[in-house]
Amino acid sequence: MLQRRDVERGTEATPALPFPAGVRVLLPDEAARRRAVEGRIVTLLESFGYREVILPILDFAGCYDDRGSSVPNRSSYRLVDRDGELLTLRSDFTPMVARALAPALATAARTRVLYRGDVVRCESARLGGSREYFQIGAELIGDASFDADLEIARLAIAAAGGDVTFSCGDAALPPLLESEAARDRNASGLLAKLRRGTLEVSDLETCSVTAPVASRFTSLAAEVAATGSRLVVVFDPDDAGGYYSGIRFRIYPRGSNIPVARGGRYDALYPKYGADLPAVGFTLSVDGLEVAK
Amino acid sequence: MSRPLRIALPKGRLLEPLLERLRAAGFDAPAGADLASRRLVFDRGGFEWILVKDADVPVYVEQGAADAGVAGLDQLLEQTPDVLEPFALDVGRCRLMLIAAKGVAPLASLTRPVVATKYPRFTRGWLLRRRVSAEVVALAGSVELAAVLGLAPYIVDLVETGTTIRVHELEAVETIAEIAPRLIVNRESFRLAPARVRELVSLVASLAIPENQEAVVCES
Repeated sequence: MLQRRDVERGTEATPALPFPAGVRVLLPDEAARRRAVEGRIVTLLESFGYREVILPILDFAGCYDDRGSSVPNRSSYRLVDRDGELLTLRSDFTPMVARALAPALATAARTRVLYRGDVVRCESARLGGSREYFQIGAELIGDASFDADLEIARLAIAAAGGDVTFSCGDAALPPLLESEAARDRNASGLLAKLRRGTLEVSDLETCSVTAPVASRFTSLAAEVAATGSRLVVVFDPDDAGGYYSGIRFRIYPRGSNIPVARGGRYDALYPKYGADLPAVGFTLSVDGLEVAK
Repeated sequence: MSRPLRIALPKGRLLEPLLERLRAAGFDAPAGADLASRRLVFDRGGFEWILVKDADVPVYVEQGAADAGVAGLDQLLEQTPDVLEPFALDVGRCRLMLIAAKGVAPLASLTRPVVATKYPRFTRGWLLRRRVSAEVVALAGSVELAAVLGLAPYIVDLVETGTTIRVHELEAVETIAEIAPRLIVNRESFRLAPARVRELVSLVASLAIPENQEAVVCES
């Protein structure tokens, strides 16, 4: 019979210490599979004119606050450097890309970049999930047009391998309806529906300020259908959190309820780092894609 | 997603009145004989109902083991799960209160105040927002005993009728929040099948508390 001592200390037969939960080793077969997927996606993005940037894994924590990130501060590893500076391990590429590129881009025209690498978080987003994610992403900077949104949507679907569910909403909608609700009864009705999670595209056509949003989703539906994937339009009252300011989407492989890619428009992010430029992009989790296959 | 929508309901004081209201709203929700059977999963009227401990409802729903559920605001304040919260339900409303043992000095005037509660994370945050530096003791239940037996001069707990406070000769100091259960929905279930969530929300809508009457005190 096991004694209490054995339970608390572990028995003598304990094997070598495993790696911490949420991180893992890829042995040659798995590593080769990941590199193959990575290569396919990078080649795809490069063929559309996206050029790679390589970013550091460490940065000053003060450059990223909760408002500038979709990852809350408490989810990022933070450490005190030997000279007392507070550092953080990269937990989200998008604000780091903005911070890295903003000084060089201040006057430049449209720019397409891609990045790849790990992000590390203190907790997995779900039980049994990873804390270290290998991601590949793309950013289209300096183009506020809806065509830029469509380009990113098309690319994200292709990168995810096609035949996916493209679930999309609009982060601009909650603040728009909140500001209009006071003077427009129609908007206030839509806001109530949004908060209950029952707002539909057809509702947006009934209100002059939201009608343009509805027509964008009609174009998006055609674009997604052309890729052979399925569009789900969903308006989440909490989508306005983080840095998103326009379309906001997640991509699910067929039959899965775990997103492999997410993205959208964040026109207020680059201005925070000194470049008055709109931007739209996506990030894809390569491990998620491998698991889904 | 072709399986029926799975809805987690909290076992305990809320369950009976909640099931009654759901049946009145037209749901084929589990009834007395079902509950006596000790089973915890019921396939009824196009939904799969599961019964779990109240504090576990947010866990099941946030992780997607259930698509939707009914969770007390007390549990949502404590756990802050990332879920969609369409509205509060007009069932079993009560208050989250700061309660004192008889005759103790005001909380802010104690040099090393101690507060006992089932909601340690929320209570720590609330005390910090009130600029009160107190130690928080986490208990699993019968929190009023902590004040009666001198474990802590103050407790933060739910008050339904006030009987417990009177019986133990405690003093209600202030209401921290009006508590009502809320309908909660898993984010991915919502993002993948909003039409099914819309359908559920409209079915439950008759139980909703109108937004302007939903007083949530919880000031900083």
